[in-house]
Amino acid sequence: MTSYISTQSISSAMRQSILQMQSELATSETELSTGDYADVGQTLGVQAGEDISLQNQVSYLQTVTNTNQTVSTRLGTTQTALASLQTIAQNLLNSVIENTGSTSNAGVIQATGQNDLQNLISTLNSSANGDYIFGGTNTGQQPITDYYGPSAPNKSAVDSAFLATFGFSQTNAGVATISGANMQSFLDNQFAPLFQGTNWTSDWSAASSQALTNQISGTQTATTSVSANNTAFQQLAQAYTMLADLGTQSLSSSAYEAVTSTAQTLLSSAISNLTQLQANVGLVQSDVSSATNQMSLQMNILSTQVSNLESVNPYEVSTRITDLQTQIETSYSLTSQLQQLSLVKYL
Amino acid sequence: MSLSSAALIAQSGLNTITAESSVLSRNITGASDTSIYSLKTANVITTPYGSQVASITRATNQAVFASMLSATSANATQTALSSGLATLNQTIGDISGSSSSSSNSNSPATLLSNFTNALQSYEASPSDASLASAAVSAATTLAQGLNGAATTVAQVREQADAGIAASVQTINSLLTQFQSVNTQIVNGTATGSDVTDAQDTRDNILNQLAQQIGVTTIASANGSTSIYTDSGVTLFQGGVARSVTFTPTNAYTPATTGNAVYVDGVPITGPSATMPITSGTLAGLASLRDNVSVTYQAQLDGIAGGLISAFAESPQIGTGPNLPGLFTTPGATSLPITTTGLASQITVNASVDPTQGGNPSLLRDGGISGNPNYVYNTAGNSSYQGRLSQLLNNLSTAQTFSPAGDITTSANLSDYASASVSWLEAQVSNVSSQSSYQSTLLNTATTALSNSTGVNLDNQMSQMLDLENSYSATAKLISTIDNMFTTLLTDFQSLPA
Repeated sequence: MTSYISTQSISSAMRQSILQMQSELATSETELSTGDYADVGQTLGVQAGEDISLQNQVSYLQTVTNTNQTVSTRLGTTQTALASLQTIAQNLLNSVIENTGSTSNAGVIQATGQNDLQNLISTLNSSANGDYIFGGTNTGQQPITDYYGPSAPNKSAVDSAFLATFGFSQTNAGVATISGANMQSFLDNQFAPLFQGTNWTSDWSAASSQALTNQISGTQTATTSVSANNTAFQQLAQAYTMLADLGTQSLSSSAYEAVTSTAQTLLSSAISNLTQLQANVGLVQSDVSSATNQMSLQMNILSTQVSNLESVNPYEVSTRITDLQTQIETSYSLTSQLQQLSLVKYL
Repeated sequence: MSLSSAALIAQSGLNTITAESSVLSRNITGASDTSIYSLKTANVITTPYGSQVASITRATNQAVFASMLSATSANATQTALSSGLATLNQTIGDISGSSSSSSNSNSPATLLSNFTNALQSYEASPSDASLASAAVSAATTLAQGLNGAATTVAQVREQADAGIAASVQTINSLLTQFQSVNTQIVNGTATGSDVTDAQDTRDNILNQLAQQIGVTTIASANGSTSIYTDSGVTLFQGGVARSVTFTPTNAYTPATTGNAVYVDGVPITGPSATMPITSGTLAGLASLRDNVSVTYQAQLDGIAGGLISAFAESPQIGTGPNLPGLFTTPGATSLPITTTGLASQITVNASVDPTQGGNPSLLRDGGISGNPNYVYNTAGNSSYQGRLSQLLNNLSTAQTFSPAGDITTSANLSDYASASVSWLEAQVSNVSSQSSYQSTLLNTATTALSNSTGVNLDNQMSQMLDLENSYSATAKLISTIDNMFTTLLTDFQSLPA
C-alpha cells in the first residue's frame, strides 16, 4: 500500500479535531459548573418524559404537603373547639347531677345554661382563614343562628311551641303550675323535634351536612371537617336551651325534675358523641401528619431519581476536561510544528 | 544522428520541462483549494526524436467520490432536520429540574402539572378566591403555552417550505451549470484537449447538488455524466437537465398540506411520491414539514382537545349536550368535533378569566357557559368541592387520542403530555447522534477523497527540484552542443587552405 496524504487533509484533520475538542470542552465546562448534562433533554432522549413525570410528581406532592398545612390548621381548631365544648358540657352535667332533687340552685343552673348556649353558638360559629369551620361545605355563611339575636327563628320556634302547649309564655308566673308529666310530655313531643331534621336546618343551622374532604397524600382522601349539623351539637343545643329558656327557676319541683333529668340524659349522650368526634378528628390529624411525613420521604426518593437521571459524575467530567486541555494544547503545538515542516523552508 | 538532431531533442526536452512546470504550478495553486481540486499529471512520452507532453490526466477515484456524495447528502438531511428540531425543542425548553426544586421547562407537560397543582390547592380551599385566580391564571399560561407551541410548529413548517423552495431553485441553477460544463467536457474529450479543470468543476457542482438532493451518477464513454436522484428519478441525462418544480405555500395552518416537489413531472416528496428521495437537504426539509412537525402538531392538538373535554360541563338540570367549560375555543358554542388545530385556538373562557372581567369562582360552581342549567354548586356553598374533585378526577382519567400523534392512543393527559416530551426529545437526540455520525462519515470520506486525488505540496516541491535539475542538465546539454559546434567551426577555420 502506498502511503499518500494530501496537504489539505493534513491541515484540515488538525482543524477538525481542534474544533471538535473545543466544543466538547465547552459542553464539559457547562456540565461541571451546573452538575447536570449540558442538554438534559437531548441526553435523556426518550427518557425525558420520565424525567418530567418525576418532577411533576414531586411538585404534586409538594402541593399536597402545602394544602395539608391548611388542613392541619382546620383540624387543630376543630379539635380545640370540640375539647372546650366537652369540658363545658361536662361541668354543666356535674352541677345538674349535684343539684338533683332540689330547686334551690335552679337560678344558677338556668344562668349557666344561658351562658353555655351562648358559648356553644359562638364556638360553632368560629372561623379560620375566613371560613366557618363547622359550616360543612357552606363555609361562607355563619352556621348557627344566634338564639339571643333580634327576632331569632330558633327562639321564636321555642316560644311558640311553649305558648301553644301551655297557653302562656316561659316568663309568665303560670309556669309554676306546670306538672311534671305535662312538662315531660312537652319536652318529648313538642320541644325535642325543634332540634332535629328540617326544624334544625331551617331555624338553627345554615351549615351544610356535607363535610369537607381533602386529598391528604397522593392516594388518600380524608374527611377534614365536622358539620354543625352533627347530633352532638343538636343534643347540646337542646339541653342548654331546655335549662336556659323554659322558665327553669320558676318551675315546680316535679317539672324541674323532668327538665333536669332530660337534660342530664341529653348531656351524657352529647358528651359521648363529642368524644367520638374528637377521636375521629384525632385519627385524621394523625393520618395527615403521617401522610405528610411519608410524602416528604417520597419526594426525597423522587428527587434523587431526577438527580440520577440528570446529573453528571463531576469526577468524570473534570478528568475529561483535563484530558481535553492536554489534547488541545498538544494540537496547538503540533499545528505550529507542522507549519515549520515544509520542504519550502529548506529550498 | 547529427549534432543538430541532438540540439532539437534537447530543445524538445526544454519544452516538455516547461509544460510539466506549468502543470506543477497548477497543482501547487490547487493544493490549498478548499473545493475539489484533483492532482494533475503530465504524461510525457519519449520518442527517438525527443520528448513531449502527450496529455494531462487527473487523479480520480470514482468509488471514493460516490461515497463522499452520499455522505454529503446524508449529512445535509440530518443538518436540515436538526435545525428544525432545535426550533421545535424551544417548545419544551430546559427540562432539568434537579438543581432547582421545580422544572424551568415551558413544555405543555410542565405547564399542565403547574395547572393541576393550582387546581389541587384550590380544591383543598375552595372558598379562597385568590387560589381560584391562581388556578385560572395557571390555566391561561397553559393555554398560551399550547398556542405558542402551535405557532412554533407552523413557523417550522413555513421555514421548511421556504427552504424547499430555495433548495429547488439551487438545484435548477446547479443543473444548468452542470449542463454547460458537461457539454465542454464532451466536446473537449472529442477533440483531445485538456478537460481536467472542467472535470473538477463538474465534480464541484455534483458535490453542491448532493447537498441539496441525494444523487447517483453514471459516466458514459464520451465523457458525459448522467445524474439520477437516490430514488432513481432522472435529473440529467443525454446532455439535457430535467426541470425540478415546486409551488411554495406561504402560510401554514394545522390543516395545510405542503405541495410536493416534482422532477420532470414525477413527485419525489410527499405521500404521492412513488420514488421518494431519501437524502439531501430537500429530503430533510420535506420530512420536517410533512412528518415530524405534523406529528408534533397532532400531539399538541391532542393535549388541547383532552383539556377541553376534561373541563366540559354537563347539564345538571334537564338534558342537553356537554358544553365547553374552563377551556374553549374562541366563539365556540359546542364542544369541538375534531382536534385538528385546537392547540392554536385553545383559550380560557372569558367568563372565568378575571383579566377579561370574568369570575374565577365559576371554576368551582360550574355554569361557565352561562347556562344556569349547567351550574353544579346549586346550594351556592362557598366550600363546594364536588365539581373541583370531578375536574381533578377527569384530568387523571385515561382519554382517547388520535393515532396521528404517533404515541399512545389511550392515556391520561399528564402521561400523554410527558410522552409527547419523550417523543420530541427522542427525535432530537436521535438526529443529534445521526448528525454527528454522518458528519464524521463525511469527514472521513472527504479526507479519503483528498488523500486519493489531492495534492501533496512537499511531493510537488521535490518534483520541482527534479524538473529544475532536468532543466539545468538540458540547458547544459544545449550549451555543450553549442560548444561542440563552435569547436567544429573553429577547427575548420584553422585548417590550411
